[in-house]
Amino acid sequence: MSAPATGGTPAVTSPPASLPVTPPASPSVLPPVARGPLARALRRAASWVRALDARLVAPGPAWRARWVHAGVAAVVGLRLLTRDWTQLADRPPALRSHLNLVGWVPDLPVAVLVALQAVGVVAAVLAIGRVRPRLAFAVAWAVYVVLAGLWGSSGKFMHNDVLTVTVATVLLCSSPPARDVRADDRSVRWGWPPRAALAVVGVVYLLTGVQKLRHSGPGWALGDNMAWVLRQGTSPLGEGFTLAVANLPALPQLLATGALCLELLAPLLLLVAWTRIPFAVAVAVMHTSIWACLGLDYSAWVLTAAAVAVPAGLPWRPPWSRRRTSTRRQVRAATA
Amino acid sequence: MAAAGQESPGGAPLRERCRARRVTYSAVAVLLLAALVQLDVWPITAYRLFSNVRTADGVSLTLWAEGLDGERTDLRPPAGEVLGTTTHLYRQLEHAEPAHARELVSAWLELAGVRRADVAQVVLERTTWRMDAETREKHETGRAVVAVVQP
Repeated sequence: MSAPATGGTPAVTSPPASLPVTPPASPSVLPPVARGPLARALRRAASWVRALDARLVAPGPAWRARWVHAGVAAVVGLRLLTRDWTQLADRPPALRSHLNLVGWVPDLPVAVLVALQAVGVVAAVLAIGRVRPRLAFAVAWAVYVVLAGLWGSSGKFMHNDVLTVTVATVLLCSSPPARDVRADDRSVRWGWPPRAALAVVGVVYLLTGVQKLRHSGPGWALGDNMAWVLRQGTSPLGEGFTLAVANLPALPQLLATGALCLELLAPLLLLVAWTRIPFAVAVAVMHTSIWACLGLDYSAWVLTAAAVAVPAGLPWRPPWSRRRTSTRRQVRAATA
Repeated sequence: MAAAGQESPGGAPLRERCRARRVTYSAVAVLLLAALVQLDVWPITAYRLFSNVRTADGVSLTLWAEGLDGERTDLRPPAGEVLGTTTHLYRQLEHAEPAHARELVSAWLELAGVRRADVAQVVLERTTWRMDAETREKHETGRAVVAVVQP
């Protein structure tokens, strides 16, 4: 049996009676405490940072780490499974850009692409099934990075997979709970990976919003920008749909303002447990509307946000997970 | 369940805390730094998604193959994320060395199924246009040759 939660703040103990106790310094030798509004703001910011850091490294339940790990592995597996990677073999070598982190990978023939896809999918399934989960996750991640990197090497920066790759990279540095770890075991080891993934998702969405303000200002949301984005896009639901949305009064501005607010508030929405699931739903609505209006596929972002935010937003362990644990306990009790 | 004598999963919390901080703060720092310096080296990116304001005015680049008989063929590659997005490399033709420009043009000719021997020259044109808000029709407002390549 694993040890009970030992990852919390170490208990404060009194010094043994035999040791000399240093008297507290007199107020005259203490450094002067800075006063004024700036100093107060700095102290408040420092206390916020300390509180966030304490939350990052607090113990967490194994079931949550397991779910986030399996969820992101599922997204990686799904992306690997549902794309025709053999298209990469049709691209003439001269039309490949090497200015990215997989620029060193040679152009791959169809057979190798298919083999890589199969290896990656199998590895993702093994990671979900918790068979050598860390190794399996690493293999799935490596295949995904190579194939998605090659996919986006045609001159245009493709953002479709970057959120999944970034979150998976963070989880790659963690140890997922093994099969024999109890679902309700609490440890620092299980606590930080879901929180690190939340931090990455929050910062990524924040940056997408900040860049809009940085390069275009509030006019990005309040002006005619979104109406022109819609008119110049290609909707899978037909030209009439996009045009109707674009020409409705105030609707494009509302869509743009809603998207910008969601992006800018992402870190706060992910910081609070009960707003994490609504955040995942709002992200799904936003990216689905982008697909409906412009035909852009950001499903990997939706699934990754859900894989991270939903388990982290559940106030208690889901019942089916509880049932499985009790069954295991019964098996252990029966075989002991 | 950890066997007796083995470190329990909840053990070594100090080491785990160090790892948590190292991984999380490094990841966040890389994301912030890339955004600050506008770095786009996949998968590291500045996350500039639709961050420019769109208006009725726009610019398009078109690559034409001019045949020996004077006929023009649009060399736009097939749609799709792998081949279709190679149009983003068109702008390289403007400043490319002649040998590299020929290599690029030959690749697009190959994709379009046009024989190099039948082509007199390949021309890259920049077209400016204004879109009608009601009909989405693009009205050309200007056209200029950006590059000419002999394949």
